Amino acid sequence: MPVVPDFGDDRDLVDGLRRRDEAALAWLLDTYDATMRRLAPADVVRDTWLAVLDGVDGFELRTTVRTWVFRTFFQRAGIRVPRAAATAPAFDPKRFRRGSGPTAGRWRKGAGPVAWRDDPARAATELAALPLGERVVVTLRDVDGWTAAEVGDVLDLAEGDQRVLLHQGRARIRQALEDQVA
Amino acid sequence: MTHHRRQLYELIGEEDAARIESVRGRRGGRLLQQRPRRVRLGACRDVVERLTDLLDGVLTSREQEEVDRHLEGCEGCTRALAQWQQVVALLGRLADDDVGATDRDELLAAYQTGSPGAPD
Repeated sequence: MPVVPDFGDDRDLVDGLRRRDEAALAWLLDTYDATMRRLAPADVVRDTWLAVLDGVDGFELRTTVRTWVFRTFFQRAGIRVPRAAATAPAFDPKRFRRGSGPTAGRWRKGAGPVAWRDDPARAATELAALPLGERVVVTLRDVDGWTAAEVGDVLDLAEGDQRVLLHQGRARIRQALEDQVA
Repeated sequence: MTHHRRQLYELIGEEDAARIESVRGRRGGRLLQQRPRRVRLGACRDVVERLTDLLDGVLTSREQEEVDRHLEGCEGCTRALAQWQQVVALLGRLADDDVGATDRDELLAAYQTGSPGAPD
């Protein structure tokens, strides 16, 4: 079996890219291309890659490669995640009891979350339909597993705003999956 | 520290007091009444809005206790939490093939032609 080189170490990756190593480029694309394709048109993604390859000789590893690639990407794509605006509730307010008694705000009888089955195709469709800010944050955090700190750093987004966008994006996807069975 | 603020801090506990102090420090001390949002025990409507905070581990220990206690007695919110985790897990397993891929050969050509670091 051929040995597939691992470029998980940034130093190795940058050295490989500077040597114009095809395997290093393949690793970079395998790792980050799909994420960008979820967030911007194909030509913007291609231009980002060209800019990254053009800049790799001058890249000084002051940040991680991932941070550098995605800062380049968000800049070229003109994506600025706005501060979280007015927040929509995670569940329709009608599902909760009204009034001011001790049961106010509790689930109405029979109005709790309805079980649904995993449907990756539907989840992908709903993800693609999210408003930009939610789509960016949910993609980085949940699809790709970035930490809150790294997302905040790359997007220059306050933690509270990031969590609001993440929460609303997840809520919309959950609701869509529930709507399929309801 | 004013008498009133000291009284308030005693009331809300050390942890929240420290949070307020740190926010006051950053913003020039004008924020006494900006207490962190509290989860009202019993209000499912409020608990479900904190599920992402819960999964991120950013609730104060007091909020965490209140939510834990709520979840113990609330089937609907327990299911909501499970569904939050279900969404996160589902998104984490999405295949990349639905989004297409950038043309490698084109990039490779641009990358290897006329570059200073290209092997000869």
